[in-house]
Amino acid sequence: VLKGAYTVIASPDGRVNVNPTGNPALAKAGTGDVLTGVIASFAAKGIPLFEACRAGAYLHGLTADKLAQKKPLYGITASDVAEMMGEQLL
Amino acid sequence: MKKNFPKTALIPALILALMLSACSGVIKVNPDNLGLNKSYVFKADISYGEFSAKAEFKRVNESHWEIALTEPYALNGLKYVYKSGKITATFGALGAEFSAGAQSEAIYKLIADMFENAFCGTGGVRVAQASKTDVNISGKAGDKTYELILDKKSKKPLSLKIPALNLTAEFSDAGISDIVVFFQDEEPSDNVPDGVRVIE
Repeated sequence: VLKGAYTVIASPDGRVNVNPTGNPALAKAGTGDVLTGVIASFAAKGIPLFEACRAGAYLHGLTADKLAQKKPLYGITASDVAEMMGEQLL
Repeated sequence: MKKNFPKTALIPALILALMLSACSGVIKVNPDNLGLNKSYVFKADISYGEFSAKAEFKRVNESHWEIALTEPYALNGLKYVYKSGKITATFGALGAEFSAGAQSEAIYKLIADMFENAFCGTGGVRVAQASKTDVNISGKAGDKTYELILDKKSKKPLSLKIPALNLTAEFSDAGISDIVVFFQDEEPSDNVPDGVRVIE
């Protein structure tokens, strides 16, 4: 997983995914740890690693996009992302 | 000086009024009779503000729905069960339950609620009208108003709008069992001024 403006997920078997969600609010301390946590939780539940990374990155970015509708980007913290991410499954 | 309206003009005026009302071709219908209070499936292409999704909806029975997300591609495989007012999600072996606040904003639940309201009257009143080609049902589920359009002949859902959420959904591949074909002898005609009827 290459976290960036558009996070890239690549697999040794050649599959590549460019994540469409997210914004600069995720360029903050701790947001990468949140991403790692959600990917790990998916993987721990048996979701194949590539799919776990793809879904985790998508939800991580989607959460930031939803948060950005409620508060300015500079006000979004890693804790906000962690707290709201579960709801994005809905 | 007051002039009396000539009686001879009254009859043509009434005929004209009846013809104009018939030209609209709109009849009121009873949504309970549309046959969509049973089990059915359809695919939905949903646009919700800046976001979009595709999902397959299955109405198992009253207030029991199963919904499978197919897009966004990253969440393909995410499934929901909406039963007795509560929605749960599964993604692989991961299961999730949600707070009441989060559930109230869940768009898949809202879409299911609109269908329950439209065809079973659950949660509030609704009004259905049929034109020559489609059936338009307007109603309110929770605090959200909606407009649901069905194909008149097949009774298959075509689209849904929830203006308050800027949500539109286009439906396809609907499979409905035991459709009641009650419109067959109820076609509005341009020639016969039959006005507005209520089909029970």
